[in-house]
Amino acid sequence: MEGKNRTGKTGAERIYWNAFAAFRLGAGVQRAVLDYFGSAAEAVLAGEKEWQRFFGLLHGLSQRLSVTAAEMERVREVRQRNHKEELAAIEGRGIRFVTEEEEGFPERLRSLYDAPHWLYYLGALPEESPQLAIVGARRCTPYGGAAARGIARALAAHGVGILSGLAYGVDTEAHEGAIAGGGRTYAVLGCGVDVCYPESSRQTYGRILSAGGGILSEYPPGTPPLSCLFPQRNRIIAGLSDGILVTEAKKKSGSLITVSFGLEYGKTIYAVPGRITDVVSEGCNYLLKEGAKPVLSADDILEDLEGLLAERKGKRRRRNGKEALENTLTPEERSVYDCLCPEPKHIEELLEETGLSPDRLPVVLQKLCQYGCIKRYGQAYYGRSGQDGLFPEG
Amino acid sequence: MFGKAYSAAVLGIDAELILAEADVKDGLPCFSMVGASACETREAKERVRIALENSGYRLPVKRITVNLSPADIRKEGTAFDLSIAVAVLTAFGLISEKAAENSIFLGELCLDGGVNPVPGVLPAVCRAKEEGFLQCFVPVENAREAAAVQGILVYGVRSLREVAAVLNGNGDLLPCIGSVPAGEPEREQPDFSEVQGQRMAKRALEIAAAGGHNVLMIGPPGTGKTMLAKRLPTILPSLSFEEVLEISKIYSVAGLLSGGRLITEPPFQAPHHTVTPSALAGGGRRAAPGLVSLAHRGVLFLDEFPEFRRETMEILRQPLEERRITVSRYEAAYTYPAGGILIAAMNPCSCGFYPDRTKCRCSQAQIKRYIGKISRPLAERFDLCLELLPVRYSDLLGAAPQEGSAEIRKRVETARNRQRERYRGLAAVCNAELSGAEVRRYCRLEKEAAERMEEAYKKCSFSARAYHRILKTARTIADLAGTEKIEEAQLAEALLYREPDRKYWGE
Repeated sequence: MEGKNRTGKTGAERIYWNAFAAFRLGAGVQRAVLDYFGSAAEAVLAGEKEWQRFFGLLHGLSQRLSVTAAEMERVREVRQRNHKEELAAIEGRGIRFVTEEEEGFPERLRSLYDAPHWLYYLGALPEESPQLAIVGARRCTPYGGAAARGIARALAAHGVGILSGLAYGVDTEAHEGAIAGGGRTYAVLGCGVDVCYPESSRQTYGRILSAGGGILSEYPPGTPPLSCLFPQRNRIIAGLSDGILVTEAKKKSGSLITVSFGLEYGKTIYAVPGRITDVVSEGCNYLLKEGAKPVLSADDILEDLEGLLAERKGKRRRRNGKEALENTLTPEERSVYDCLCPEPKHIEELLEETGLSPDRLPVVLQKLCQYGCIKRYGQAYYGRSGQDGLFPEG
Repeated sequence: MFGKAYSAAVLGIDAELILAEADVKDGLPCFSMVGASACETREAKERVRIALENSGYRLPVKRITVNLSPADIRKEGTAFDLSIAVAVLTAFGLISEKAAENSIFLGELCLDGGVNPVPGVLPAVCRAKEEGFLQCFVPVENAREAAAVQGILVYGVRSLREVAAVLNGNGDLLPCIGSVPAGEPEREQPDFSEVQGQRMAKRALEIAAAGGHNVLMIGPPGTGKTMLAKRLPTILPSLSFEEVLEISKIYSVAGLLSGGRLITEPPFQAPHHTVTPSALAGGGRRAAPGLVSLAHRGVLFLDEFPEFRRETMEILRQPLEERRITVSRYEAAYTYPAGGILIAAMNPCSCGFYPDRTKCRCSQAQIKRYIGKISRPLAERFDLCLELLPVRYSDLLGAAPQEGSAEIRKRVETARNRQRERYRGLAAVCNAELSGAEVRRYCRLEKEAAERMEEAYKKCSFSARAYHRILKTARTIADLAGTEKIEEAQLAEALLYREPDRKYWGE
């Protein structure tokens, strides 16, 4: 065996951890490898025979931990690379790499039994200040999106970090809300940190970094977004957080996978209530029934995190924009505004409810849009913008 | 011996006079034809010779040469038969030269001497009248359409014998009396009063009719998109006599004037989505007018718009912008008018329920792909874009009385008259046809409206084309309101129908 220098310093260990990450083995197999070989370095440096024996044993012992031929091939191929240059190349591109043996590895993850042993990241890692994970459906309604954005913004303004997954829908809204609130936000990806998935979140990806947040992943740079990797990344979102908020989710969804990880790790679960008839709110309402904490405004979360907030940034600002706004509206504008709710309504329904004529309503709607108190969805749908005190910023 | 007779060749929707000259000389008995002619036109010599014999004329044993002049215009079709026969009869002295001089002859001959109908009679007769001809002989089936042209005597003939009889002054055939289309034709058509709810959509169609704007309707299946589109022709302004002639000419060229009746109502064309590009735009060997031209001054309705072939859709760009279309083929390049209103309907996604996320199961990428079948430059050419609300149960019960087409049409006509007055002397008939320079002149925004426009332009990243089109729509809305000024309210409404650009084609 050639593994004489296996007890090298941390600097050398990092190199082998990186190679080990490149194996891209499942969590269970990873644990088995480490148990069998003793450490990442030993595993990487072990000879072909040793690995053959391991795979043979694995096959005989357990049916749950199976290894495909492609994975075996990848392990062989990775072991033959120049491990030192591999890591140098990654770090040369500005991607950071941290293992559990080093300082700076998130403390929250160390205590978890199935936590990742390493992380790749761009920007920064979540700090010790309280972190809230906000997750939800990709195909959210404007209601779920506005809730995520509004609450993220309010919490970020109080120094709470917002964790999410950069997906379309609720995730993006949560990131954007946190950035708008002037806080930090972190995206945990199910692919390499240098791969922006989905492509439509490209702008958010850039804004997260420029706002001082971070992009995290346990998968080596360049890993494509494979659907089998996403449930696993949810455990990192759950693990890094102090609480998990679901704004809108179906009953069977990735968001609820995150929640079940969170429950195992003992995190508080929050949910935004929705209408019982909405399919996309079924998951949330189910969680509430099971005892999750209902969230009606950002305050409901802040009071739990209060102890964790190191310093309160000034006194709470209670927005009184709503009252001020209502006083400036003309009776006509008021009547239209009163008909609206955050859930978008078709202009046809507004015509009926307000009794205005089809040539009068457009100009009223345009004025309300101009004031910023309503928002337009597509051609014919309007809803309240959510910036009028619906989600008070605590 | 020499004889001649006039007929006309149809080029595009206009016609050119053609002179048939016949010369009879001693020589080997033979009937030859010269002058660039298509196959079916050259075969006229057989039809003419036999028709003459079967009509009772004994042709002397001579050499007959027929020339169709001008020789450089390519002649197609069989409409020259009658003029060739008359020229030959004149050459033999069986018809006096004087009698045939001021007439034009159109019609295909049967072997028994009868006359068959031909396409393109209307433009040919129009042309003849311009050239100062006094009478025309057309197949009896085409007589009604020819009689629409005033200032020329029209004889609807059944046979060659009848022609000869009239020319020799011993026939009892009377000229056809021109029937001018009635001022207010009765319309047994669907009516807007049958549409419950959808007030916004009705309003949009009213604007479209008043200004000639194109409409794109986006909505779930079964929300009445087709129902609304079918009713659009019923609120279009009644056609003026010139417009009736213009449209009827196109139909005449295409051979679609059934029973010789003129097109007096705004036409409605609704091709299936498997239509080919040349059927839509025009083409074929003879560069015939396509459906966009057949919908001139009427409505072209394209249902299930994304299902059309991409090349078929993109072909619409020129007519949507210039209101005419040029069809080029090997033998000809003709420009046909294409000034109809295009109304397209589509579902918002392949399942049809978007944006109702509780029902729609399409991913964002699928929706993008579905919408992406319509290119942005094409989408931009629709002045009015509207999303329809799924019909609710209460609408189905339909108790409330709804406004009928006649009332809406009255408002539309008032608005159109304002435009006609304003654009007197210009090429444009309605707001949608204004050119860039004309938009600057006639579609001035009031101060506040101009500010709103600037904000919207920056926020929504409109193109210059979209900008002009918004102004034109606002102009129409102001015309409907009966004001010369375009104020904030009119602009707001114009912008309201512009927005889906951003939702569906933006970002």
